[in-house]
Amino acid sequence: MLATMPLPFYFLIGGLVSIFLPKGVIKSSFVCLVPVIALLALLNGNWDGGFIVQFLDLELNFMRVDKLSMVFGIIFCIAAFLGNVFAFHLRESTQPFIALIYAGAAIGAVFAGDLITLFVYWELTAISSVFLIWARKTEGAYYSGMRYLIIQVLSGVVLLFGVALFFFETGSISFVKMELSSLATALIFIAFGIKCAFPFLHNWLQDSYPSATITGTVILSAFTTKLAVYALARGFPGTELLIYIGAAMTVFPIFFAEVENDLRKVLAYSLNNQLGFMVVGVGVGTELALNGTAAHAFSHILYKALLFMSVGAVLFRTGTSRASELGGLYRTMPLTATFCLIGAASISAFPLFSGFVSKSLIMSGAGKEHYEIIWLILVFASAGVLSHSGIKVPYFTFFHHDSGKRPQEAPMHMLLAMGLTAILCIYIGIFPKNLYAIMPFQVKYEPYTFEHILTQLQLLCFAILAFYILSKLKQLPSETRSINLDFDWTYRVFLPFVIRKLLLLLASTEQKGLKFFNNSLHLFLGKVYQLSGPEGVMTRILTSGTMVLFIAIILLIVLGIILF
Amino acid sequence: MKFNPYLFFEKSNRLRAVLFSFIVLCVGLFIIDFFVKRYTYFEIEGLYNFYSIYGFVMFSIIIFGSRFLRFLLGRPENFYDNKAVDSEDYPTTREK
Repeated sequence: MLATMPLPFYFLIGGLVSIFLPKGVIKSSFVCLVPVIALLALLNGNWDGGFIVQFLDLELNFMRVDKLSMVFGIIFCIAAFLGNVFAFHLRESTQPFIALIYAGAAIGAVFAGDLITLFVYWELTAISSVFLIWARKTEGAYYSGMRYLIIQVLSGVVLLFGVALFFFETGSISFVKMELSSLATALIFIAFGIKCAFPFLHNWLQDSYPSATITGTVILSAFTTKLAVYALARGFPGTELLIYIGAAMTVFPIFFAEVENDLRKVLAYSLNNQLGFMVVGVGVGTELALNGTAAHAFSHILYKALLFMSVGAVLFRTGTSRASELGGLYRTMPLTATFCLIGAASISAFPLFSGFVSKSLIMSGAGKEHYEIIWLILVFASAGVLSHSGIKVPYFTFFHHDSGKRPQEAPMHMLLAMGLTAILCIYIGIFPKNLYAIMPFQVKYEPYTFEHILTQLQLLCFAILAFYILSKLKQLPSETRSINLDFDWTYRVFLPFVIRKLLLLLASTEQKGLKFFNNSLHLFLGKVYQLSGPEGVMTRILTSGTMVLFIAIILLIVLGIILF
Repeated sequence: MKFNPYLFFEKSNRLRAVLFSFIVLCVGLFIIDFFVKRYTYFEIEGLYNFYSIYGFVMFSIIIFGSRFLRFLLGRPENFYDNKAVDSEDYPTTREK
């Protein structure tokens, strides 16, 4: 039974068990162990028939294991393990529990063979992961988490609408390749797009990841967005629109990342840029490009986690991740600095590091299909990656001017997590065949040709040269405590402002209307009063004395007429 | 920390040696392109030293572009006030 249990259940049950374990080494060890057991179960299990469950009239498949879902399943297990090792010091119940539930939900969504199961896990990733933000327990994190939750749940609701329509149209709920041709598939596409941080739908990412806890950000960085990349690769491979969306995603975050001060926000923008490469791969949709997307997601999760870990370790020791307040930490945190540099080299795609062997698959995929402009944009974006993640993050943290801070080296478990991740980054870079072996399609690509190494080194070295010259000329953007407005300004400032104004307008109109109504009523009632009130002409009651007087006068008049 | 390789470069002449070798590397990469026949997807890619020049120019564009972006959209850290973590300090007391 245990061997055939759907993979997410390992995490969900593990999470529930973890609540009852004593806080400390036992709990921390247990949450590290769960992903390892799950990974072994995944690799050794026989998943040929899937895991079919009959629900009402629908047939749900909890474990659709093929090569594509396998890649993401494996890397999610590894990421959960590394993230939990990094969080070994936690002495609380919420975050270890949530880390497992969240990872389990993401893995469940990856292996979902139908859209209903996908929806359930899709929402579970949203509802669970928000606690990693709220665990920071500050006011800012509370609001940030709220915004994150609203957007993530919205993605799920849109997905549900899409799935319902899709079922209504086709009578099927199986999660297979779709055409972007109806409202149903468009809704599903948008739901994926929200989680994948498409341009204008992306701000939740840069808002929430820097707001989470040190360890929470490392966990968050691995799952949600890569789940969306998987969902796109599964549902919409070869959709040309994705090429242009992806290309836009690679470009605009570069400029923001370059001027952001919070290094975790820089990394969040950088993550957005990396997602762009994967989305382009999905859009191109050839075997080469889809292999590239899967391979890049795999190596990206590792080096991005490594970068978030190293900045997290600095935040843990110094209490800040602002570039303006850091610098010169290589003196006392040399190991963290080295791991950060390895992550930086990997994301910048230096030869012998993981990014080099995975990103080039996507670039070649776009090149082979003759997308010249897209290809030029991707090369531009590669230089951009170097500028913010490759240079800015390690340079302003560990080198540059001396901030005067002399923090201790990161704790042992953090060094262990970073070390393991760094080893994986280098291992993939040196032995790409082992990564290529688990790709969805057969890989006939050799990254280590003389000209590929040469051109990549030319691109990177001359970009670094530009950095050196510009820094000598003091042209680099200064590190100041500031933020930059992004599209989220529209819903954080502009829309609330407009709505508030509209409500005020409505209220004042209502008041004016009421006043007019009141006045008219007064006027009307006054007239009625005047006419029909106690003194009114219409309702005047004449006294009998007056009547006698009247009669006396009339009699006198009549008498006068008769007499004269 | 007993052994710290970075301290080795603290002496400025050693750092200068690294910089010098880096510039030599750049010059080497620039010259070698003349002798290499590269397979290319696009015509532009085959231009002499396309990658070097593109890398250098694009990096500069990114730097100046981002400064312009900050000029347009840069705001003080407390712009969103208590509704964001931008200006708040990380709560250090808990996780230690």
